[in-house]
Amino acid sequence: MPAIWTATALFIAAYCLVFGSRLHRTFSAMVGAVAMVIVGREMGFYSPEAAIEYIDFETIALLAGMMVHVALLSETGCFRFLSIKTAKLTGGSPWKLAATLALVTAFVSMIIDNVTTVVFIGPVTVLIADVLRINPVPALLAEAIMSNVGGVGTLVGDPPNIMIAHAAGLHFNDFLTHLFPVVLVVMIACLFGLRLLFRRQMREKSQHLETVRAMRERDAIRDMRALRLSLAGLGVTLALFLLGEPLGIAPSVAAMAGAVVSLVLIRPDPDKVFREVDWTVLIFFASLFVLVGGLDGSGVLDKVAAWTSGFGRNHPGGASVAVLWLGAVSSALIGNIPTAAALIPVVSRMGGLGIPVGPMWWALALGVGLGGNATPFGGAANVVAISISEKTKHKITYGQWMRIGLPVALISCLLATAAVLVLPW
Amino acid sequence: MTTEVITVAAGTPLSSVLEVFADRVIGGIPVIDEHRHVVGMITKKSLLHLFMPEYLDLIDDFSFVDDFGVIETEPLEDFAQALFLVVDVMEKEFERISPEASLLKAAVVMDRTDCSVLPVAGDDRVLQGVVTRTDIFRAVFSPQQD
Repeated sequence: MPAIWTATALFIAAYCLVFGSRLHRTFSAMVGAVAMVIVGREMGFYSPEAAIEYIDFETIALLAGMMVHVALLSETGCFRFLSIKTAKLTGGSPWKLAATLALVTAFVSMIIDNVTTVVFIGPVTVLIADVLRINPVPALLAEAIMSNVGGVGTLVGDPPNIMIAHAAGLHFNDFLTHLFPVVLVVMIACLFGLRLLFRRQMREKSQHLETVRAMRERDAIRDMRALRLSLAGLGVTLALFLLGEPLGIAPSVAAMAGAVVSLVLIRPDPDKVFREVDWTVLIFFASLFVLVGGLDGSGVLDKVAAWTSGFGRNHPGGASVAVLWLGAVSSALIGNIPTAAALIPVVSRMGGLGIPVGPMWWALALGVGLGGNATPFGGAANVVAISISEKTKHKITYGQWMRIGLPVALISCLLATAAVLVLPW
Repeated sequence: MTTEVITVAAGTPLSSVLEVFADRVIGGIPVIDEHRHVVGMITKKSLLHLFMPEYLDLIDDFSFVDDFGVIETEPLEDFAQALFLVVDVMEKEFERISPEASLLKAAVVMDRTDCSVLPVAGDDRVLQGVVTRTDIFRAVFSPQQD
């Protein structure tokens, strides 16, 4: 029993550190992981060898592979190309600009990580809004929100989905058939919600379209050859994602295979490419896995699964909805990755007890993915959008985010709840 | 080192500095207090930033645009309306070099920090002069006088 309480206390302390702003979240998770291993070894419920076993290298390799794709693609200028091309189609309408750029962000976020998408599309959005003399905030907010929503639709769109896929043995196509249609409906609902919430800022059409029309999106592409070859490598990865189930190829291998194809074809400076890989995020993941592993080693997860199994067995629909909302609220408060890292093993244990957890996995993916929109710190893309706005005359305040993000997150989660209850998962 | 140095005080109107930069070929001016302590540097680069929207820092390539349209003149209008002082624009974190430092040290610092004017001051931060790239060229490449 002391092991359970000690591991729980360490876990809560580490999560408080991750949530707080005193120490970077990766350092916080590392402190928690190291403390868990040392204390667990002393008390006999954990060991360094067990900690290594708990690191989900499938998730880390998949993320690393996709980061190589991002590093190669972002160098080519393709995100600037996409943003300018899209803006030209909107004819100076603030609503069309926000909606189309948000849709582009959402679809790109289904393959490329949300932060990268907003980091590259956000600043060009601000420039275009500025030369059109319109407020960039609706478009920036819509992009961050829709990148979070779009990411839920595929296995690789959001890190929690990657973790869920590995834990539950789900394939890329499972996400396409289960979550993608739901996400499309949620995206449409979010756009309507954003239109309503931003109705005042969306009234007047810009009279300064000529500057945007004069922009040459082709010139935004720095290296057409590298772009073609990067897309070829990404195409290999996508094809292997789609064919992964029949061919028995894991998503991590698919991501790495495409990345290797791109690297061999383009032959970029390796130091430059690997510097672009976000090691901070990868170490954060590894630390969280070690931390949660200690919780499992102490027997906490078995206890939690045993406590909740009665409810899960008797009310499977209710349990899925509970997981969705617990995931959403926790994601809004501490972020989607720590939430997923904590909840996945619990759902997994419940499955081990014979409870039908199939719908629960989808509920968890929807909850942690959509709940993050409620607060400025619920998703990394939110933080990026706010920091971009701070370089303009229209700063997004935390209050402003909550006025828009919270209702949008509520609408999304209500729709997701309906999907969990109605769809035959 | 050049010992006859143009300096400004932190409270000097920026318009006076612009006149100096327009009249003379210099890259930067040390900002000093009443005790001649160096408290900052004002450079052409820092002035250029004043005319650019801050968010442009987030975009690393502008090959796709030649003319920014209505925002071209806006920062200038803002600048004309505002009463900027040197203290609003000066770089508070800057490189300085001690009077005992060698020529190579000055060259390396200039190369690494991409600055064209280095204030020369000891630990007491009292300005003794400046080193410019031209000073280094003169010292290295001018014919030695016996």
